[in-house]
Amino acid sequence: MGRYTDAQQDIFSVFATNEWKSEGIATHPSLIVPDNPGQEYIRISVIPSSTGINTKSVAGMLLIDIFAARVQGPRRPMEIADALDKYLNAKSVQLSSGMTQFMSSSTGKPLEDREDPALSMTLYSIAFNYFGEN
Amino acid sequence: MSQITSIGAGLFSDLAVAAPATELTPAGIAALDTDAEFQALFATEIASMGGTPAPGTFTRIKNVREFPSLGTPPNVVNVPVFGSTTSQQIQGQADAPSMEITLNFVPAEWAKEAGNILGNFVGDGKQHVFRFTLLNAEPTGTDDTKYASTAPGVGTVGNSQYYWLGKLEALQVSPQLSDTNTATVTLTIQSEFFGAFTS
Repeated sequence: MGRYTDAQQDIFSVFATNEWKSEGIATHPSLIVPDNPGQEYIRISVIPSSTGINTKSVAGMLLIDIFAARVQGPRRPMEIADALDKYLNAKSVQLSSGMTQFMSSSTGKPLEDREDPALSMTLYSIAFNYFGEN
Repeated sequence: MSQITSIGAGLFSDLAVAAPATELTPAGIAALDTDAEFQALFATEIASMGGTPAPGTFTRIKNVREFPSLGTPPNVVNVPVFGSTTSQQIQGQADAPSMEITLNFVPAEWAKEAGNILGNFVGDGKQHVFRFTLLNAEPTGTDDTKYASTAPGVGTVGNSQYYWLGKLEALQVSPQLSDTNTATVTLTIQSEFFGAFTS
């Protein structure tokens, strides 16, 4: 496969593990609408927007929108961000010949979800590098 | 595990110094050259403050901001060759490197107090065994063997270990008014670099 699909495959594989599933947080890739509106979930977008260290590598950001019930206040999005950190922050994944390495994460300000006012939306972002060898 | 097999950033790279219960004798130091001999010195981590040295104990030098290049720089000498249009190059005797490490400074870790390992190593004039471990991933072990040289420690992930003998010569503190306080630790290198070993 190519570097873009390899990087995306590495990243999505994190959310396919039994360890992540056991966290009980519904997980959807971008453009997929969740089945149960109003319920807590996260939405994953892989943005391989930067050139990597060579022509077989790519770098970018993993953006995760955290949707949590507004009535739970600001604590719940941070709990989900901490859960994400366990699997992403400074972690590495290697499914193909290349390796995807995550750096350090950050989060943004919780906002009201325009689609569903019962939910808040908090952006969790983390830079990644997919390293391929020439 | 084994040596690191892919390109990556050494996010969890680690520097440590052996802190055995009894100092190594000159003969003991001279005999060190195999991976097993060095790895045995880094079996159990102890804290710099209040750690109890015992056979195989070591202390990590934590909070490093920046590592220098490891290894001995070459001293390439150009040699004129009679009748040739180009000179030749040979490797001359290289200068022993010194090593400066910048770290985020925690004063208690480096205080020159009784029972403080790193603080008392600074300027003690004694040779110590150092280990640098290149780690792209965090070891999955726990407690005082998480960073041990052997399988329950750094051997749980890809690792490349380098060992050398040297002295902790100086500690220079750089107070910062708008950033964390930093310090520069200067090591002198008094042996060749052994490795890269792995476990």
